[in-house]
Amino acid sequence: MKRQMRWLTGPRLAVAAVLLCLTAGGAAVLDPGSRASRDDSGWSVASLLNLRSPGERGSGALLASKQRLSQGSLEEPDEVQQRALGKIFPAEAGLPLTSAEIAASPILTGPPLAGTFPELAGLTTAEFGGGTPSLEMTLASAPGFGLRGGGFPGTSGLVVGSPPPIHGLPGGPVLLDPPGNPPAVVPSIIAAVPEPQTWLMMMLGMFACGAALRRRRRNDVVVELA
Amino acid sequence: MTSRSLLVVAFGLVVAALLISQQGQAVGSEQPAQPSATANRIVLTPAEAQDAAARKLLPEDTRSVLRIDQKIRYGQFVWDERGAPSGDLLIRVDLNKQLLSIYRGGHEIGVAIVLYGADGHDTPLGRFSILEKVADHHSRTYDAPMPYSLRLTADWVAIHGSKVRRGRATHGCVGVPLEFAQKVFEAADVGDAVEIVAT
Repeated sequence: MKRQMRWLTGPRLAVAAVLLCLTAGGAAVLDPGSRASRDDSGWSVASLLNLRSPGERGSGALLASKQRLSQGSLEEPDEVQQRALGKIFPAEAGLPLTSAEIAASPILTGPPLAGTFPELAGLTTAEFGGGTPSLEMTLASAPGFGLRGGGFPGTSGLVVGSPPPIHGLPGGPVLLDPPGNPPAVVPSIIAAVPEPQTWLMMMLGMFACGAALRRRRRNDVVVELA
Repeated sequence: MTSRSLLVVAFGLVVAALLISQQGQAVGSEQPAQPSATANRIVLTPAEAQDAAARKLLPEDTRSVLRIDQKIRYGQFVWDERGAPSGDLLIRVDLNKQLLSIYRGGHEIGVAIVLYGADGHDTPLGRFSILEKVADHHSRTYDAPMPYSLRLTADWVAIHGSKVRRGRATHGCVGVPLEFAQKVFEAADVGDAVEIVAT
């Protein structure tokens, strides 16, 4: 089977696609249909008029929405019932944790934080410009914690981008592996350049979108002039 | 199949898509269709004319129609006065067929595709006479140009020049290609009859 299909190489397929398109279009152009001639047996005034006419007009989908707009059903109500608001975060998430709570947290093991690494805590504070000391930085550079080298390839277990402050720990990423838990999941790598199959699938999708748009546009009726 | 052949196939598909789109654009061209050089019209026998008039396909006392062997495209028209003697002028608009025919002395001298009123702005049906000819009218109601207007009603339903394209409609007027509108404007006089039908 593979040997039989060997002749179907890429350039031949491309030429076949173009030829198919040309023949499909050419058949529509070359086929004259019935001629408006008295010599034909099926000649009649009705067939003559149908031959020159483009047929009946399509439905007015676009116009229908304009009519609804002009009738006022889409007008804004007098009194505003609802208003879109920005996202509000609950205040509890921002409360700082005490060292006892941190120690009791299931994702943290080891001794309480306060006063354990005074020199490291001071270092990270200086590095982050006087902000809240980062627990992840502190823990990553501190010995004695079960920190894995998981995460993104190329990093040595150190999270570089915007580490959350201590009190934001419950929402932050979990880096620490307490003993007994499964290892951290390494995210799959997405290739920078898509494969040819991906390109082909994407282009087919684009063609489908274009065909759908053309078909929809053909059925719309737009009021243009007086 | 190697990745290179896949790319070549994709290129072929792109070329095919370009060809298809060019075919689609050719439909909207505005070149007038050329009438056939020989025997440009079909002369009807009295029986055929009577039968066609009884079925409301053609106006009464039609003597000949233009021989048009192909579908007229949007924006195109046929104008051929050869073999048509002088006489009364009649303009007939068939909304369902989207056609306008102009007859002189019972002989058809021009055909064009028309635009007509959209739903809710229906073009009135019936027999009218041209009330006024205005070469460069501009609609105040719709702020739209109405070149070569032949006014039919008191509220300015008119036959006028327009950009005739597929999928377009008017606010009640009958739109014809601009060049055709100019020819009809020159041929028609105030008082000439206009029939608007929907067969």
